[in-house]
Amino acid sequence: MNCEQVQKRIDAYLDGETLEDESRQLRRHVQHCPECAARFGRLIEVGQSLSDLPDIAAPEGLVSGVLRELSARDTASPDGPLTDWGVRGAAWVLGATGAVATVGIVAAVVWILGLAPEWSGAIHAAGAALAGPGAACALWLVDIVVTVASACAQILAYGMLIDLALLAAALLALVAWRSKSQRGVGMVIL
Amino acid sequence: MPELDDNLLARRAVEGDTDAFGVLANRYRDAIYSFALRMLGDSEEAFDAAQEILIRAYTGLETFDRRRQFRPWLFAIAANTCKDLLRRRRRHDRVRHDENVVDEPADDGASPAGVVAVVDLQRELTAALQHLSDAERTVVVLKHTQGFTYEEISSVMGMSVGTLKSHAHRGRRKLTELLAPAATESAQ
Repeated sequence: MNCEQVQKRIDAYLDGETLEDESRQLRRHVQHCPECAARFGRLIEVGQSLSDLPDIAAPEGLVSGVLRELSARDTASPDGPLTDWGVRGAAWVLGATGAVATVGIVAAVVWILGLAPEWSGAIHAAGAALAGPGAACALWLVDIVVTVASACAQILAYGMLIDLALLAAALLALVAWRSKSQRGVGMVIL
Repeated sequence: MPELDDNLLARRAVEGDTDAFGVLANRYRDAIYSFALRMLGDSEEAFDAAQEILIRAYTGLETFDRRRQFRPWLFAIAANTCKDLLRRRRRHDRVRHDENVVDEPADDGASPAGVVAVVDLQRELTAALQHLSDAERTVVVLKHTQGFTYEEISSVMGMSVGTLKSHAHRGRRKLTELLAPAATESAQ
């Protein structure tokens, strides 16, 4: 093996990807070539030192602390720990329910108080007061949006009923899931 | 039970066998702690990280695909946990390396003089590793001290083998520049 080949193969050697025969040739070349020894000797030493490092003994109490922590969680949640799926699923269902409920309640308030027609009237008045055709067009556009929103509000008022149904479904799903998940860690200290 | 393989223990743990998770945790405690210490450079943080890793492993056991190997899955959790801690540390603008920490190597029957030399080398290497980028350090530690293949590290870190090799090659060269000759001589 020559210097150029060593340079090309040194990383493969350190990655453990060279065959024994090639590894032996590479080491022999580096030992006898001052230039390669200067360039790659330390690299080989460091790679070897890293690979030779043993695991460090973990301090006492690491595992027992973990098991105590898990046991405490089990005590707080006797049906077993919530998995990521459970937490995320419950959060999504409850979040969606909350969002629909909020929209429904706002829509119901708008509809019940009959605010939309008054807004519409005010917009018409403002449009008449402002003579400019551009301003009038813009206000008519706003009026259309408010009218549509008013119609939606009437529909969404029924959303309150849907909210209650969704909330009940979410709670049932949560109870069903938790009763299915019985896994837990007891007071096992090894 | 200690002789059972990882995947069987993992399955038992998911099914509610509480002893099984304890066996797994004890089996990997030194490897996980060593990994965390080399990633974080601080024994106290490494201890907390190792506990966090084991807790995350337990809570995530239901997602473990038992057709795959447990060890790379566990180290994926370890790598992500350390990454989160390093990110949090940077947010708090803390750079830490505990120069005075002396960690004993796991007992392998070495002589006292040998233990001292290894402890010196541990300290030097752990300090030097902190000067690598997170990705370089993760690859170097997984590859060289934990003995993972690049293919396994690829599944742990979600990077291509080519990218991982670049990180490893760069990391090794940085370490060579950083380490005093005495550090590696002490291992001879």
